[in-house]
Amino acid sequence: MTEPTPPPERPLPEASRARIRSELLAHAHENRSRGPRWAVPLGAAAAVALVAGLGYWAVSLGADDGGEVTPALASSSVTPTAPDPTIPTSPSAPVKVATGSCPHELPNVLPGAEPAFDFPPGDDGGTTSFYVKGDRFVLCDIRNGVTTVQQPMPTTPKDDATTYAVSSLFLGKGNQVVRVGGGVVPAGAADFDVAYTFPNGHVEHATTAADQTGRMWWRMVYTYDDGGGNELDKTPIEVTVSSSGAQQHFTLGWGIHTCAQANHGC
Amino acid sequence: MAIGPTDHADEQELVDELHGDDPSALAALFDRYGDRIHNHCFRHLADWAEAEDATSSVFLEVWRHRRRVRLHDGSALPWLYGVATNVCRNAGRSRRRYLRAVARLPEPAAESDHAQGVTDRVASEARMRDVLDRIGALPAREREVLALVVWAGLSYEQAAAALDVPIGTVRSRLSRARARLTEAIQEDTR
Repeated sequence: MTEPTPPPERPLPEASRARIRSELLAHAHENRSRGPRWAVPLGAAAAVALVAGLGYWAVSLGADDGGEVTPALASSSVTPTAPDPTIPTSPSAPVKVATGSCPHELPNVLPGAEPAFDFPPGDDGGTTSFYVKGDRFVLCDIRNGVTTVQQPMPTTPKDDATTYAVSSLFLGKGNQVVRVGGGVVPAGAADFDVAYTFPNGHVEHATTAADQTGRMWWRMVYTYDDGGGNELDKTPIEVTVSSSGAQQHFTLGWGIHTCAQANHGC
Repeated sequence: MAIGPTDHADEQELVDELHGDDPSALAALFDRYGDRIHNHCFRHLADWAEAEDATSSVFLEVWRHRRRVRLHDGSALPWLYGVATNVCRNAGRSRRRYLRAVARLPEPAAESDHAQGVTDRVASEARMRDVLDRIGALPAREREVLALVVWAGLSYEQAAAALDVPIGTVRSRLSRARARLTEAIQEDTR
């Protein structure tokens, strides 16, 4: 073989994957319809991230950088274009949501994941299930007729806010929103608790349970009226994690840590 | 890395959803191919952080041109590789200009870093820079075919779709690239 060999491939770091995914979803929503109010904080969060991430290119692109961006078969250029008039901009454009079963939705998120544990249905009839593949898991929540599959997370939790990110489901009933979080309880943790303090002052504690192998899982679900308006103007959701007598505090960034779902918009 | 049939069994549905302005389809495409595009960009840029930015840009471009996304043998991956090749080519130009500017700055103080992950990352980047140096004499179009066929594992047909050139052109570019590399190796050993 005459070709030099590149170093081994590496997966995107989980934090980077979550950040990019969140930016993409925010950008896609922002450039699809300007109507839904939940797009405002996501768009703003994405704008900050995008300005930081792409600023270098924006500054450095010179006159000699007129190369194509889309592949030749699409024949397009980097020059920004006017908004595509064929893109629907109606404020009433519906958000497509998933209504299939967890096994139906999972292949797009973590193919091959196997069921690990189901939390029993709550008062609202909603269910939360966890699926595992290798060293990653996904949370699948079915509530109010919508199936929400969260982004894959490592089964060994990290000490950062992404571990406690929540998915958000706006119910279309006033300003009702369902926030769901969950994950693996760290091995060996005693008196483990995750407490979410929401902008309305309510503190919701996670419930924990063990699967058949003895692995402990935690899950938090809270439905409330968020009052509408721009989320970025609201107090962020605070998370307090207690484990073996120690406490850690995390602040969830709107859009970045409140849009953990992988299979539908926020 | 072969592109198996199970990878894109429902890809037509995904592309239909993209054409229908569904942001979750973009997220699903990213979940499916983000790692591959990330590694492809790294092999152009030899910098993992820049490869992350480039990966993000690739999928932003996919959304911007979502109505043009097309399948090749049931997979959107060749088209994605085409977008990534163009995005990373432009990023590479900007980076080279940036590095020239940085080279004119005073040398920063050396910093020690004991994290194994960082060490691996730096070593990986150094190795990739070495690889890029070794193929630096090749014309860009030959480097791109090499990256797609040899490193990314695309078939000739898929690489042709990604670059929108005939299959014969892919074959001839790769053949010329290999001949040049062989010649360079022989010269080095003389």
